[in-house]
Amino acid sequence: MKWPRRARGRDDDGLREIDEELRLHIEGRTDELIAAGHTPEDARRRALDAFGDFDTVRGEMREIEARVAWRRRAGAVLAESWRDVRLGARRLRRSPGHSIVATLTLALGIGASVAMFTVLNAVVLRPLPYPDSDRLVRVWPGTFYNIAMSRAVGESLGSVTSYTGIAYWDMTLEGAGDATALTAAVVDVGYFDTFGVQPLLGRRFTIEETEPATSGVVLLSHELWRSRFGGDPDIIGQRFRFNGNGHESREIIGVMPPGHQTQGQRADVWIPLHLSAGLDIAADRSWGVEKLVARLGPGATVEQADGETRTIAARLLDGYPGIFDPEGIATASAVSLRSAVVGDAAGTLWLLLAGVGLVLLIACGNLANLLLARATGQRREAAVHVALGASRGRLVRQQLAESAVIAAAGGALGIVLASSMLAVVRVAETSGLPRMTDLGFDARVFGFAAAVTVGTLLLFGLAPALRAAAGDPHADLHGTGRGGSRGRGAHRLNRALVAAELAMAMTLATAAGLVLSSFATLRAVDPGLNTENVLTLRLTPPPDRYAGDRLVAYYNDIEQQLAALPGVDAVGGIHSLPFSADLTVFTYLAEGHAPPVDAHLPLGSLRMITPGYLRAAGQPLIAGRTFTSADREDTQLGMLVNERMARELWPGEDPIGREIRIGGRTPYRVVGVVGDVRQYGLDREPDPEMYVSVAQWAGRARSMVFLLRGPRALALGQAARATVAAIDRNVPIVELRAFDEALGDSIAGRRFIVLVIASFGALALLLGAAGVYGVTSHMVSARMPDFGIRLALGARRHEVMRDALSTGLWPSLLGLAVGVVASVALADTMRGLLFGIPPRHVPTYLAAAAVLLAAATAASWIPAWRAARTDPLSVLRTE
Amino acid sequence: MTDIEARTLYGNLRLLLLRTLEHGEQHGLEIRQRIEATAGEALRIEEGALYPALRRMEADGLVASRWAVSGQRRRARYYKLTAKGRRRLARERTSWREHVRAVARVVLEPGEEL
Repeated sequence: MKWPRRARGRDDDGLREIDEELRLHIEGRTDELIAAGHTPEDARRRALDAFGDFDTVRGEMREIEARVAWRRRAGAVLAESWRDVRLGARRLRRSPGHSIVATLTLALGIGASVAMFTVLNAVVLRPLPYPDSDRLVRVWPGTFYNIAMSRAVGESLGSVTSYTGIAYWDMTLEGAGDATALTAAVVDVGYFDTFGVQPLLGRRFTIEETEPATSGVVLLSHELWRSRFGGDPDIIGQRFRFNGNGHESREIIGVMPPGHQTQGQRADVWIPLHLSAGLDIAADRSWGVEKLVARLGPGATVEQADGETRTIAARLLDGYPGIFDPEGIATASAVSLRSAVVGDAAGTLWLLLAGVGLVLLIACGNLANLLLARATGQRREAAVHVALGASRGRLVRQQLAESAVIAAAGGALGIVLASSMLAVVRVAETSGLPRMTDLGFDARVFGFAAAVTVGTLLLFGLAPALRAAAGDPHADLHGTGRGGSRGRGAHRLNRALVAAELAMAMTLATAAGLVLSSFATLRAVDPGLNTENVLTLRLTPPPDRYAGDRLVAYYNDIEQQLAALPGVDAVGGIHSLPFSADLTVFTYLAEGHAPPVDAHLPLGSLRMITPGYLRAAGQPLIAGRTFTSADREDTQLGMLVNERMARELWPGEDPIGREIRIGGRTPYRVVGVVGDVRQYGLDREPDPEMYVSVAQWAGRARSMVFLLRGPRALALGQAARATVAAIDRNVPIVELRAFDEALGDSIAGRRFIVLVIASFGALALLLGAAGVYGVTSHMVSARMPDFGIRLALGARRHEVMRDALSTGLWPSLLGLAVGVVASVALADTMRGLLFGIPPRHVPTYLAAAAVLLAAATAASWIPAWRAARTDPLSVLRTE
Repeated sequence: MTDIEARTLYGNLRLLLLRTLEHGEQHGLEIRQRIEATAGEALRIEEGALYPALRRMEADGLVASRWAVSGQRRRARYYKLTAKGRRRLARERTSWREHVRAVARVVLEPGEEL
């Protein structure tokens, strides 16, 4: 940038003045000394001596002068910029309609971007809420693991300083009032060091407390301590009836600090993982450890831990032949805990951010067009300014300042918009994404908002600014080349921008169409059972009072008494509700199949049900019979298999009466075949499944979900609660919800993505249409005299109309064509979000193009119609 | 304190200049004369040091300057105190006084006066 000439002149003057002032001093002093009687030579020498080193003094003064000059210049630039901004704001006020549309357009784009980034920030970028959380790794030994195994792996890891296995178990807090269902995080002694947490009150577990006999201790969450124990600090050391996991009661040894939670699932209490001494991996039956988390030692890397984990897993495979699945062991790994938590969400969210980036680009295109149109309109004014001596640089600065005012307003409004969008997301939080609980703005979000605002300013502000300076003041002032022939270049740029906008809108519309069709396809998938009008309730009876036959009797009571409620058609129980992620698998050996050589037995999904389950769940019985109360522990062990399992094991043969040995040992006889159910989500093909009766299952399901089917089942919550309490008031209902909701939750993640992409698509459509309207409208206004003359010379109105329409439609068509090509090229990145349709699903592309074309046509129609209605006389008169 | 190396002590020089300019607008030679006349031989200042000090004070807004013709029909740059300069003089004078008293209490014999 060039500095104003007078500032530079002042600098030169300054240097000259320094020399003059110093020269005058020496001369003056010499004269004084001559007057005092010295000879001229002597006087001059003395004057110079007294002065000191001339060059040093002069250098020092020049330095000061330079600093002052710099300060003056910076002040001038600041003042000038401020003047430009104020002038810009004033010019914006002169055309409020334009300014409001521009600001709103930008605010929409920035708001959507900031909202999307906030979600990405909360889910992906933010560190986990533990000290030095980037040192935490999640270890996966390549197989399900028990306590003995998690400890064996944890102890062998040289790169970590502490580790902990984590399991989540149900527990009941009994005592005064209603029994409360709790979730217990069951952890190792290393939990505290690993997560860097100290109890707020009391102490940690000791190593002795990992022995079954002495493990009757519990740490409370801060919330439970406050809500249930009134925040009483004297609670430490007292025993309460925390029933479950081998103890009827436990001593409270501590309270966790407020806000501390285990990673992944809310826990109310923490209890130690306990294992009898001497139980090795093969003998330990506690296969419920869900996670193994470790803290890296100083200097250790995730890669090191990963390598170690692979080595250890391979060693375990050799040490315990026949227990582990070699294919599974090959997947052993250690990854940073954060990436384990975030998982696939990261890729999806980055993709969505890219999508919202397109929306923002479209908004920028509109803005650029709007400002270009105005810059063209204000050419005469600009020409006057140039003629009066304003530099072109100054015109560029003024135009940029005007854009900056819009950008700043748009950015500020965008942040407000983003926060209200997020408020909606927060209220309807069913995204299925991890870590969505805290969608706050932090420094990173504000930084992003600022960067986006400045970036958009450059994108939409530069072209109009350069155009403002590029005009020919002579021609503009004389008004030569008016009407249609004016600013051909500007119109070309307008049309190019519209084409680009439409191309981007097409890409977004296609993406929206693809996920919408996928979602529709997914919703249409038959889950294999009927979730409508079914209430589900989960019970976890305390094991010390309910085991063996007593547990079976209890489940029988529940099933029968719930079935006796008025308006209930069917009741049945299953150990794990379909569509929950809970995986229960067992090895099996089927009749007619030889055990594989050098490999473990195949794995199958196992469900434990009560006799009424199939009817309650609406799952069809294809052949044979289901269980009855006659299937008891002392009768023939029966099994149901699903169609897929029957087909795979005995293709074309009757499966009824065949034998399957669970774990390769206990024989069950197939008594029936049931329909396939998509247990793990609608988007996953049904697995081979075995169903056994709770009454005949030695392990006995410790937790059961009962399903109540009836026309008004969802209103029966209170009655069901009363029924359960009447049987045993110390067995709380852990969870009560509609079956439909469980199915809905399983597709919540997809629903969120569909919602987000569809809104982007809608925004793109809106902004794209506005762009087409803007450019056509501007063009028609500019060519009005042209149209007037043609109409006056006898042109038909529909010809004029066609001409006007083509202004907006040609670039739209071009944009759509480019958009189709881009969509085809980008479609593969979306493969993971699609279900049941290919990424190049032709009907979706056609539909998206048709919708956009319709919008573009409608947007061009209005100004074109205006052109055709022109009264030729009035137009000619105003010229 | 018989000989002050004022060239290295911009703070002291500044105070001297502020005080000197309190008498009214003066150019460099007049300022030099007045300091010499008041302080005598005890305070020797390298004359060249006056000008950077004045310029720095001007940059700080303590003095203002202009070119004018002097009594001897010579051009000269005249300096005068600004309002800010006056306030600074009042403040520095106070702190100087306190400083000198404090040093005096430490350095002088009991009963001895400045």
